[in-house]
Amino acid sequence: MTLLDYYADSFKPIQNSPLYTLIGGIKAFNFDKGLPEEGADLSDHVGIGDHVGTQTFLEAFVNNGLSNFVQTSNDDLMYELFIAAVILKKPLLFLNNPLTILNSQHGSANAMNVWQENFNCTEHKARVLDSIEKFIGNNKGMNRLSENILIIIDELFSNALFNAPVDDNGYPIFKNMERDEKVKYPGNKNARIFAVHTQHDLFIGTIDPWGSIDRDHISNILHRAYSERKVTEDSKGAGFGLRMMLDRARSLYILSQHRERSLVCCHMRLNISLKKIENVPKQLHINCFG
Amino acid sequence: MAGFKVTQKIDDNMKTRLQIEGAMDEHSDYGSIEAEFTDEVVFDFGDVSHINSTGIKHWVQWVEKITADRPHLRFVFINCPKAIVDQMNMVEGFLPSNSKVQSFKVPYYCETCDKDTVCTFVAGREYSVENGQLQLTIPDQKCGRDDCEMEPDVVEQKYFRFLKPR
Repeated sequence: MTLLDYYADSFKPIQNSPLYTLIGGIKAFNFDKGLPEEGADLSDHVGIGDHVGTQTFLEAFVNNGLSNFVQTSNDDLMYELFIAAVILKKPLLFLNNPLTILNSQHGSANAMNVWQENFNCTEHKARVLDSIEKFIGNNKGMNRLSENILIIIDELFSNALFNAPVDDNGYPIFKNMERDEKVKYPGNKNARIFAVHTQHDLFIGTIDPWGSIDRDHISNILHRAYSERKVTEDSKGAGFGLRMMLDRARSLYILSQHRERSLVCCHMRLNISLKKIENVPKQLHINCFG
Repeated sequence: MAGFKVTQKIDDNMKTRLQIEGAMDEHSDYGSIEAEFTDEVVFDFGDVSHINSTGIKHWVQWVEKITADRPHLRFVFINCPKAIVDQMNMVEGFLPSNSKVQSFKVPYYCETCDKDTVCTFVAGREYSVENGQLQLTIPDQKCGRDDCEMEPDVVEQKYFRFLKPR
């Protein structure tokens, strides 16, 4: 079945737009009707379901090639399905315009308050954290979430600096170094870290110039973080930085254009309790292409 | 953001007390801690400002080493902020088996008034274990208006899970 089969009435207002073609043809796998069969290929599906546990849909990411999951309990369901469709079918469009697309809820753009910093070495971390603390301090709606925001920024920074860089043959450069070692991107490369908020939403992310994310590897790391609860001993990282991000967000978007650039971005709702942030069923979108 | 610091002393009860301050991150180094502990060690997390996954890993690895070297050592944790409690619940090995949490923080929030506060839960006052069962009392917190009050701003069945007898 397709998304159109499930949500025909909701899509009627857009049936004359290119979005209709984009969304309507996408296959949907409904977790409310049961779990995927072993060996089923869901790589071109969007997973949907009501309050599906993170570990449950991550198993489908690992075992069935699923790369997009949307919770039907999401109060912005059509928006999230639209995002899933763009990531699945037009990943380059998303990578070129992530904030414009993410900010397109309710059919209109909301005024955005933007923070961003470039970085390329360990010495930049203190500047980045000090800068985001000032940004949080200047925006009342984020004060209560400051601890969560700092944790997400810290994990994004560390991943972009240590895990992203690869050499000309695609081998990781810094991944096996201790995280307190001093490293610097080779060449003139820089990554960008950003936080963008509207009245109700906050998007935090990084764009790095490496394009080295492997879809299967990331899916396995996340699945292990949720199923085993142990620090990893087979790498220098702890193995649950991504989980720490997703636990504090409602959606995580991971896109990587091979050997070009990668985007890792969290979406949080503002003006809600920490309890609601933690309790909101999670959504995940991954596309590594090119 | 303050750097990681551990201050070690003998407290008024003649127990080793370790005050952990600043960021528990990739620079958190427990190598400076002298291994000559009393039979019970008190860890005060009250001044921990920030934590990341690498800091959590360093802590877990250090705890593993210490408990392997001193299997009868008792750990007492006090003034644990939410960031630490979250790791106690999420990461296997964060809380050593021979440990007790003497006090920890619980955020409260009133959605109507957008007001928040933090309360300290203390063993023997808000919680205890009796006959193998956890007894937990969640105190009320007023927010200044008569018609509403603050609630614990945590998912209770997750947040208090570390208190359950193991």
